[in-house]
Amino acid sequence: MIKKIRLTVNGIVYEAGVETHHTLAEVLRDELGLLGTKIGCNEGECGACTVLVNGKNVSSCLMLACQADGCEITTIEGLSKNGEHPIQQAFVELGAIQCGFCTPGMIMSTTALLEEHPDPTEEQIRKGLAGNLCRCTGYQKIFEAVKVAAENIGKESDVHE
Amino acid sequence: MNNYKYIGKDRAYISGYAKATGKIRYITDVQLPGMLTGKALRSPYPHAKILNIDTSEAEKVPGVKIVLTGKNVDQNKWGPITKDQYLIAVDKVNYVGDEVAVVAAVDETACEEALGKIKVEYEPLPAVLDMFEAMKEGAPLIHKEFPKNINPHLEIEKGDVDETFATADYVFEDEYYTPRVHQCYLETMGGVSVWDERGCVTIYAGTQNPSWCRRNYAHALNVPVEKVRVVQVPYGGAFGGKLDMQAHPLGALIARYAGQPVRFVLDRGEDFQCGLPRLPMHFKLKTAWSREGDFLGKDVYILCDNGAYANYGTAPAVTAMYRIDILYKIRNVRSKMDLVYTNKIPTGCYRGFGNAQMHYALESQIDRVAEELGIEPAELRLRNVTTPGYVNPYGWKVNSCEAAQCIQKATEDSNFLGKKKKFEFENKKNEPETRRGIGMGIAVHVSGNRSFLKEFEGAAVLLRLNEEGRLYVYSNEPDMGQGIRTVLAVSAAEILDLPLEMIDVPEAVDTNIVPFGLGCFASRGTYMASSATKQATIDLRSKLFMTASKMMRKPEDELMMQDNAVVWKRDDSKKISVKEVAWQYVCDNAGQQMLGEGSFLPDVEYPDETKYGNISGGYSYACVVAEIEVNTETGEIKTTDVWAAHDVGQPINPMAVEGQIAGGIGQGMGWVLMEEMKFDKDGKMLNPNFLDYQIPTAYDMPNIHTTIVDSFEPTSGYGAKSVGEVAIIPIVPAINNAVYNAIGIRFHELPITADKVLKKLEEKR
Repeated sequence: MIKKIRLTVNGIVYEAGVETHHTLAEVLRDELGLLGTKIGCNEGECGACTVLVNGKNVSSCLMLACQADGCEITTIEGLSKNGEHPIQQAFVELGAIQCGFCTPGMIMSTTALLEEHPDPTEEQIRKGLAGNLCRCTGYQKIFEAVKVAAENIGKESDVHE
Repeated sequence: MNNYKYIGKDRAYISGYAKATGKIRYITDVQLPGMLTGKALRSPYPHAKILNIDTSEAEKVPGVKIVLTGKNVDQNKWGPITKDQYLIAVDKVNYVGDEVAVVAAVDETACEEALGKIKVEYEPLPAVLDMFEAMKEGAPLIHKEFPKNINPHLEIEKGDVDETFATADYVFEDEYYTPRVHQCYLETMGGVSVWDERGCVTIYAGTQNPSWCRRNYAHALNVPVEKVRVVQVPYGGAFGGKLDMQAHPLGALIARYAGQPVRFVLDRGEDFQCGLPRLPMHFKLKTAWSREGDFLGKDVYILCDNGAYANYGTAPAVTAMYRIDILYKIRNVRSKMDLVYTNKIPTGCYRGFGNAQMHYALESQIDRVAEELGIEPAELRLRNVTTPGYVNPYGWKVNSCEAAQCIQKATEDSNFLGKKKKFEFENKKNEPETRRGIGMGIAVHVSGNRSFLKEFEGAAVLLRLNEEGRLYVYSNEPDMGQGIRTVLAVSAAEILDLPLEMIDVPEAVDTNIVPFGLGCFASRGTYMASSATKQATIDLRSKLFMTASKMMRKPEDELMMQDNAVVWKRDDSKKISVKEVAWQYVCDNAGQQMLGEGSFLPDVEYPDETKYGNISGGYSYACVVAEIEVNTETGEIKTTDVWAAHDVGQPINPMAVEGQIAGGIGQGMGWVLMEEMKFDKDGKMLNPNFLDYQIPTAYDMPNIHTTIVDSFEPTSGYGAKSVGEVAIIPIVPAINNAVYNAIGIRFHELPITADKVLKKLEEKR
């Protein structure tokens, strides 16, 4: 069955007829061409497909596209144009990325984490990212990157204030 | 020691921003015009005859292009070592997951519907699901060419083992078992295949060995090798699991009959059940020792479970037998091994490659030896560990070796000795609910393994400087996340003094373009390819000097490379940019761009029948100390801190080396404490998902303290050795030994889960 939905993805309004059983991840990738969102397990266990739905991090493979009707969605493509966001910069510069397949989801979860805890403790980082599996890095460099990103975001907002 | 400008500095991956922005395209993102989806119907039985397959209803499903069974396709049994596997089963299935039929359709929904309508009539056969049963008289035979399900049995012996054990002061004997564990790369196996009108196929693949796997894929598809082109595109991790695999040639087979491009990607459940996980191994390990702590001899019998098909299983099984014999200076060594088929998921390569399993056994036993001989674990190891210049009983030559430095560094930084005694005392005296423990393990691994393939070793690099002075580096070594593209760029920059932004290492390794080579496995990438790149840049530099010499009217031997220019040594204000030289060269040569060729062949030899012959140009060493907490109420083990000291020679990109080490520790910790592929009584995997097969999360990880010790490998272009696999090895025994320190119980079977700990604690009480 096809249902017409309206999504705002990275600030752009889309109207699409989607199969009611299709997930948000599938629609983002297959209908909207936003391939930055990865599908690692398609069962809501690995976190690779994490996107922000109305500001909250969500496994987009667990959410039906219809459920996102009317929502504001941010994917990795919406974070910045060429990686200018402090989280992306910190991930790259501190070696928090290896194969990179978990990276878009990890960065989106980090975005949500730093929104909630701008100056996160070690415990908050570990808990905040526990839903995003990474098999390459052992997470060490990710922890470092999150801390540096938090600092840099803090500095940026100081400047704006 | 070395005055490098580029080598040895922390470098962000050249793929970093492409990955952080989601712009890089992985194998699961590849879309070709007219592409169909392929899916396989898999056997629900571990062992059964196929009596009949009726595909008529499936063919009627709207959107289905073709339905294929093993009997109506042109295919050969294939396998990288033993040719024992069909792409689609013909008469018999050998494990739960074996491909029985395939479909190609417009989308996944149509595929699934069609798969559900294929009717297969099976005659179930008795199955072998336990490797201990496989060799027994009367056990069901899986491949008729291999009696008793053995493929192969091997024995290796050097020195006088019987005499050594007969006269030794001490002999220790233990059994150890490690289960099937999965690589759990975040992107599953798969590929996209397309055939052209000449009968040539292109397979876009997530693979570690494009040029080599295509030879085996060509055999499976019954086409000449030159008609198979493999294009390795970026993919989400491998860890050994993405060498030659069924998914690529099977996808190509479907595409051939569909007459359209076909995407064939496993879902997560399939990847667990039809991937190529680590070989389970059972060890009967005996070691001989003098009273003073001299390690005199090793005698081991290893039983390995290959699962239903051989794939590369023989290679890690053989590696488990003797790779470790370059860790300590032992002269009397005997290893016997049976690799057996079972009706379970076929196994293959996984980081550490058999050597990791053997280290778990030996390094766990050595902890017991140390205790019983009354010698501290670090001291016992230092007494016996390999030193530079050592030649082992198989003729393996150690050049650089900083094993002792690794042991000293990791044990000092962790205060190993102090903590070990303190924890022992506290645990005995106060019997706290949470008991702390500390343990160590050391390890060796190769930088490339000459015994892996008889035909070939080495690496080659082709450089092309275009008319604008941008350098392209072509290599056969794929990047699976370990950062080899950055290593290649840095290795090229060093001699040419080109800024990294002027160097392109294509993200795809295309067998139509790159030099021949083996790929990235056996921890060979950095060692081989950095050396080959150096040679290629020296070649290119001589051409730059030749052209610049004419342009500058200076002798070639008075020129040098500096900051993207050719400079006169006597007066560095006299210079000419690489771009200008490149353009002049193109003009002088009617469009031909400047090429640089280089290769590297390490001083190694394919071992003879007795396994004599140096298999690697560089041996990497490491020591890991792990500190843990055991909750005696719940049985849970928490790894709190890990100190890892590694001898990787000269690191090319230290930040990436640290990343490899931490990643290896994460995987190793999962292996010791959490991971096991479980099966029901009918051979079906019980936990083929991340909910039931849990791998370490951010929350589980210890704090990791990494040291790259001072070292330089003289055989390597820039002094580098490998790190990929040695990274996972020592953490496994280190945690096992830490558990003993904490609760006084030695575990001989992985994983050490909370329920096993509780059970043992209760037995002890």
